[in-house]
Amino acid sequence: MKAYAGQLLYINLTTGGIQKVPYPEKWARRYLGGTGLCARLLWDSVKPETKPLSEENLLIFATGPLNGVGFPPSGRYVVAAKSPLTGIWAESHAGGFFGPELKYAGYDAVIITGRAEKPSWIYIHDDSVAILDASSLWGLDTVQTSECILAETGRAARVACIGPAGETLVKYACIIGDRYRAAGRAGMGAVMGWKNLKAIGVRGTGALEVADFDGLRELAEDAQQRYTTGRWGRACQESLGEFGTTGLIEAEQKIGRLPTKNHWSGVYADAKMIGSEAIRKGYRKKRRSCMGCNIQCKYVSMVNEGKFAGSLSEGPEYETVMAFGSNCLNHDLSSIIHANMLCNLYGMDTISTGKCISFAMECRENGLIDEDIRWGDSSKIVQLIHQIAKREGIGDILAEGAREAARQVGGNAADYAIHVKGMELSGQDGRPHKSAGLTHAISVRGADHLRSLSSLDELGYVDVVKERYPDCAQEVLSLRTEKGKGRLVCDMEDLYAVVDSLLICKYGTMWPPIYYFDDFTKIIPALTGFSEFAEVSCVRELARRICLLRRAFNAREGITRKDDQLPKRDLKEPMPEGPAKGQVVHLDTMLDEFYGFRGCHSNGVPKSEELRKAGLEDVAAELEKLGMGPDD
Amino acid sequence: MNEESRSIIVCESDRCTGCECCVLACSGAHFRAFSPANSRIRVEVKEPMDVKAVTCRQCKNPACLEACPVGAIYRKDGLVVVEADACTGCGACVDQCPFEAIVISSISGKAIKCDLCGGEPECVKACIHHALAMKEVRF
Repeated sequence: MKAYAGQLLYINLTTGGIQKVPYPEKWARRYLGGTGLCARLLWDSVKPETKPLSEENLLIFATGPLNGVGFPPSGRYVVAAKSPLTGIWAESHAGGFFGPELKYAGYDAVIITGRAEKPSWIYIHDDSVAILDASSLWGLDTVQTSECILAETGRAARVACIGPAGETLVKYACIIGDRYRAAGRAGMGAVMGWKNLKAIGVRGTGALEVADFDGLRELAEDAQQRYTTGRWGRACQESLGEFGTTGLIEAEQKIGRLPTKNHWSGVYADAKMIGSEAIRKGYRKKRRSCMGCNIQCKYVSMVNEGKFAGSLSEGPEYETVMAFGSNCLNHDLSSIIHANMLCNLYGMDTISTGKCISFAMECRENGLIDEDIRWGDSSKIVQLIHQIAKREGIGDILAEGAREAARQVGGNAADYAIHVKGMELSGQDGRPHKSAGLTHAISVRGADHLRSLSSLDELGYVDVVKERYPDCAQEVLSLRTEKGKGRLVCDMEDLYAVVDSLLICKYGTMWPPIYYFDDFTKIIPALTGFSEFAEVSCVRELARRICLLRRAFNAREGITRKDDQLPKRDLKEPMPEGPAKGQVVHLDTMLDEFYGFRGCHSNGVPKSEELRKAGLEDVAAELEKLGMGPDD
Repeated sequence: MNEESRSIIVCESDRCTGCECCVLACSGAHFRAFSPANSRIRVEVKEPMDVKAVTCRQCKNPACLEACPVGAIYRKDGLVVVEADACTGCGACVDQCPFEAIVISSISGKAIKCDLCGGEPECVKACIHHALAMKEVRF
């Protein structure tokens, strides 16, 4: 098979067993790779009775045909497992160089089961795969871990690892690859830590061929144009290239969608103090990139003076600035730069960490906890990050995630746990941006933006909307109305399913909206030679298949419409100020429209005939056997 | 090209982001395959901020040439060239190059190094920051 490395690597940490299996071409043609491959693997092996922190849970590191070859960007991979934070489907993507290196070593995915007896790390060097003792690495932060491993393997190797938070099983612990790149959400680091796996190091000297080298080269040259000049060049280079995603702070403030005070408001009075210019002026040092990218949005930040002088890491990105900034009413930008570094070193999701801290702040404000945690107290924010990572004091409760923490706190603390399905909300608010509310409600991994968030209405891409949805452009563009959003979000979920299986990046697809389905009819065949994908209907079928399979996984876990909901704040508390003042989210009509387009019953469970149409006969049969169908 | 200067690929480190587009372009152009281990340019990173692409400097008195036990490396028109047919893949040149700019390809089994792509370097085209350039540089 062209573009693929051609092998799946199975590692059982309990037995030490290592198995290399040829990548079934049938799977490549039906799921492409990345999230699609993970959906098939998790559906097959991870059942409702499988606990997230168990030997039976899979921990998958997967790539797609596009990774490691010369189409920009090529440097991504996905980690998938059942999540210890939510108990359901989880996939967590990261950029960098680790993904391609797995393929150069000869493996499209690594599938890990079991549990090592003691702290271990895996070293993959082409054909050689070894499970090694990590007792000297256990306890180290992610940079230290990386450095220690590279000292042994040589600097050409790539490393993905957990930090102390993965070891203490913080429920939103993450995996850090290539020193600073986070597979951030849903607690993949805790799964890895429970399995006593500290790191994976990989060095690959192999080569990848594509089906149509000259064709792909032309597409890559065209891509370089699209990313640097023309219609989208400025957004790519002057926003993402110059500021990373921090330009979104201003953009969201403008539409009243910057989560403020634990998602109570969407407008932050001190937004300028934590905005993109302030970051660039005071802290931005060096532009960096993922492998083979032509946008190159990464950057190193450092605090030069004051209490947090010397703090150095990559980022922060928009989500992180929001999570520790406006969300906590904290305008101390140095503390946010420092908080970002700490979360990277500890290996913790910045979004969930920030939302658990703002949860604690609101609990305190309402007399539900005694601990002195006040809005805007930057020192306290920093202290809490340490406490969460080490599970000390109140950190031990917050480390469980906001949903569980609210249960332990009691009273009406649940009102302040801003989550869906147990995952804390990312930096969007459905009240000023209705489609974002729907996205949060229906996303397969919880209140996640990366499976279906539309930037089209968010940032007002009128021409793109008219091109893609000519019959309902006005509805789609209308930020604050519910109509048309079911269709929009379903289409975005489909698009990103292709993005997440290829694996290409959300920059260039979600934002700016450069690549769409018809582009993939050229890219996929050039990579793989799978000529069926020259038809856009085949690309759309692939997308639908992946989306339905992930939804079916959750349906099997008992997830239905009752779980496709939003926090009370979004449904019942009118936006107190700003452009969207007075707005709440009317979710039911959006859900009905979404389920219609998605091929689900009104209870959110995928319809048997839709599963069968997507070629998922076995999935349909199993859901039927389990009695999961429409509500009568 | 004369005894005073020659053309080499230079990298302006301040502009380099370490993206490795050059690395992919190089192995692609020479082997029609993608493989950093089979690239004639590599990125050297001193974390977190010091990043630079490195290639052969077409030395006046090349250590690789001296080291080659079969005389497969020679100089011509300012370029240091590996005669692939004569190369045995022994790696003596790799051990001696002070810039780690020559490697044994796992595809061909021969020593490979920057050849300036016959005057139209692919790495230069691939770099969106214009960090790379082919320049005539004095020895």
